[in-house]
Amino acid sequence: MDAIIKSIQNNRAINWDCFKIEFDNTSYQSAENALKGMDHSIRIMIVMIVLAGAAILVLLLSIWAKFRVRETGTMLALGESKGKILAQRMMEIALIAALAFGLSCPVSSMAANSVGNMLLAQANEQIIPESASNTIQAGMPITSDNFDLSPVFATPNVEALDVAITNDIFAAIYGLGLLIALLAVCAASVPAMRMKPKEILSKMD
Amino acid sequence: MPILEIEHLGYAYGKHTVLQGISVQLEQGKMYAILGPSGCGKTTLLSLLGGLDDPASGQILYQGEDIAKTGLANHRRSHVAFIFQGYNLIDYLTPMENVALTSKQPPLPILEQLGLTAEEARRNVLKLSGGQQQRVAIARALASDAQVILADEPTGNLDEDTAAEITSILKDSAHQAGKCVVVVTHSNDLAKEADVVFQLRKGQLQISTSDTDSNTKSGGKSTK
Repeated sequence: MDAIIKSIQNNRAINWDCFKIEFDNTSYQSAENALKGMDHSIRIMIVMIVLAGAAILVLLLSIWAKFRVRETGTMLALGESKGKILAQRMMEIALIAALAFGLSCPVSSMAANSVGNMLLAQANEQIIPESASNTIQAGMPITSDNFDLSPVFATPNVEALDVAITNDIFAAIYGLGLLIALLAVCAASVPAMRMKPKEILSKMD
Repeated sequence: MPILEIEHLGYAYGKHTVLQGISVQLEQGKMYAILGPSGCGKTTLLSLLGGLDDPASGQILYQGEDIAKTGLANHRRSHVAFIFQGYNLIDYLTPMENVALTSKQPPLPILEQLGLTAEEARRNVLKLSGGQQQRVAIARALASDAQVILADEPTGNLDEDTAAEITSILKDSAHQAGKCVVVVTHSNDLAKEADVVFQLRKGQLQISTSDTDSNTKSGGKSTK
């Protein structure tokens, strides 16, 4: 900001006997604070959604694994290895995840735009509203009597956002989601895998 | 050489001993029946023979090798085939798919041999009757290359005619296919068809009918 002010002050086309320049970024600060607050809220939301989603996924997969305990016991009794059974479970989840990820592409873009615009609207409400005396209009005489020069410029007013989710973001999120799903399958399958086939089958009888 | 040898086998549930010092040799080409009161440990003994659990003491030898050393999963996969009392079919598969779990051979012939039609073989197993499900379970066991068939109450949930049919199939598996068939049962009718009948009482396995070729040590009594 200092460099900008100095650059303007070096402009000899302006009669500095009549004008002075003052630094006032109040509007910018309020806009920045609003955006920072929005950014912080979004990050917290993302973390909480990921944690809640992972917890729900583990719970659902645990219930799913519980329904398949007898099948696990039978497969072990038939001589299938625990690794092969676990690999089958993970492959099933990976296939479902692939389908879900494909469906989530258009849905997430729509949701991101919608949420982004909602948050922007909230942020705009927190920015200092502009007044007529703070706005330079073309042809208006600029004097200290009829014009409050602080702040000088109109506050920016962004009305809408166009949120674009790039492929690398999709890839990162899908990678993380798949990892969580696979870990959840492993965690859900551990209780059954730790038991001997006889124990599993006798519990089901 | 006996295909299965049990040496000083013991097992307990907590402080309750169900099997102690059982020593038996089982041969191919014979059907063995194990009788005993409920809760005496028949299913437990069968489970140990099938490698579904580790014994508390003693060992089980398959063709002279300790199954604990060769691997219980390997024993379950290659040496034995189990017929469970509750069938334990994979409920989202068809009979053909269930049989294919244990054999790479086409499953339809053996299912038809056991009385299922081609249409029934392609139906979901849950849409079959109990008798049909039991036939699928038997087909799954017979289709495998295992030389030992372990059957836990294979006729327990069946009507008399179906039970007689299943008994005949198991007997043929032993006498014609040369497998070692061990059946746990409450049915005296099934036990009558067996070559050797054992009684399991108070953790001891004793031969019930006289058979000089039974190869049970110490005259059929378990030793400690």
